[in-house]
Amino acid sequence: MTAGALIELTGVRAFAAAAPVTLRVQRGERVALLGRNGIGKSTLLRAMAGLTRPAAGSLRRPAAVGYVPQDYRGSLLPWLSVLENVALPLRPLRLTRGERDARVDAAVSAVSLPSSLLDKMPQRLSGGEQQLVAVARALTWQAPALLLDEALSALDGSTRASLRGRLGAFMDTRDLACVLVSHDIDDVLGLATRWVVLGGVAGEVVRDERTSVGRGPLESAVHGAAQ
Amino acid sequence: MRAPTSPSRAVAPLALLTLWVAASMTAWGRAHSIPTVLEVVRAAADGAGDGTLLRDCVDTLARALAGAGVSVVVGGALGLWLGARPALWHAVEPTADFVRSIPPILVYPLLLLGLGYNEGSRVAAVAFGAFGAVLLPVAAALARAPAARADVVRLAGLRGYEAFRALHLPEGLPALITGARLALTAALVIAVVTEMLVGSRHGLGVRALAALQEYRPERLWCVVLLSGAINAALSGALVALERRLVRWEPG
Repeated sequence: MTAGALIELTGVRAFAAAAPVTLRVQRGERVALLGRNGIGKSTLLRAMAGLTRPAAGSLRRPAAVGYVPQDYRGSLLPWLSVLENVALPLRPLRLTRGERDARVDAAVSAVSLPSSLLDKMPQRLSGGEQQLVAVARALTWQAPALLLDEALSALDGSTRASLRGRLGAFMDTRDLACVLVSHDIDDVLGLATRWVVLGGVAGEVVRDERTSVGRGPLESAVHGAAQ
Repeated sequence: MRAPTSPSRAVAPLALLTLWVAASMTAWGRAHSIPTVLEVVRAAADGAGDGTLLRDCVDTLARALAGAGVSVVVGGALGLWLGARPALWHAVEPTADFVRSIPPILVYPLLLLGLGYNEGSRVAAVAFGAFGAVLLPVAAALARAPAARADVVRLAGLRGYEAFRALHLPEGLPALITGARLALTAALVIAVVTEMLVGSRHGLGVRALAALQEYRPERLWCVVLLSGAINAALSGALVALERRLVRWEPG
């Protein structure tokens, strides 16, 4: 075990036919998982969230994580307002209304979700706005780690670029660890400090690089992984 | 541009009433035992006057409500429990569907044999017939809900009763109310039929059968219209309840 690793996967197989993956994510580190569709990225993320038991291997993870599922639309509870959805992770904490609103405000302003949307029902929102709600909800957990499964996919170009900046700053100030799944090079460069490519036949780690190596290697890795 | 005006909801019942009045005044109508509106109103007044109509209505309603109530409580609870476990529900669904497809009127003789010729058998037959109308839609609504909702509720640390209140109950509520409406309609039908079969002394089914044997078509029509009105009133009450409780768009 590596001291200080917040998330630690040792020989973890997302499913029985998948290759074992070993990965350590420290506090403050933000790792992008790349690889072709169906290789097990989302399943690994779900395992890190504690939502599924990996087929093999050992996994260490913090007790609480902020999670944005790929199905952000389905993850919103349609009978709760936007505010109540964002505040959902706070329910078991039995906070006062003031404390709850303060934490919701912090999350909502971190993703620039217009406060005029808070009283609406989520199905009245556009796809992009729904995704912002799902990201804001992940931030209210105030967990040491964030797991983002294509969490910016429904956003338009400018909103997406601004959210990358804001999310990065939010994680920097709180020294959060993050694992994100994305197919978008700008998202990886804007959010991650490191990228890992799952490839080969069964999804083993085929590359593990710092984002500082630049755009070129990342582009060729992403295009290579897509084949 | 003006929006096209939709015809009033009063049009269809008025058309039916006109058809009835017209038919009852023809020789063909009389030959086919169609009473006039006045004859039916008089039959209703007679029944109301001697108290028998109210007693029959109350008896039938009591059986229907008791059976539908049991099916809503037991079928609803079982539906929520099974639907929250999609794998278990998929294993049980074909059997539940088979049991629902058995005509409750055929089960009634079995209940008479098992439970005896009493009120319990009638209520049990009603509950049996209404049960599936609640269980299946409630369980299906929960089982087909996006898995991401359950994931988020679980990650939020909501367990047991808290998870039930935050997720399963609202997820199943629209189907529960729709199921209750279907259950009530089925319950009324089955209650009336069991009354027509054996053992009942009062009820709309008994009243209809007596009217038939005494050749009193106006009494028969009175029972038919009254049972329709009772069903419409109960259904309307549940629609109003649904509007109060379900303020989101399900799906």
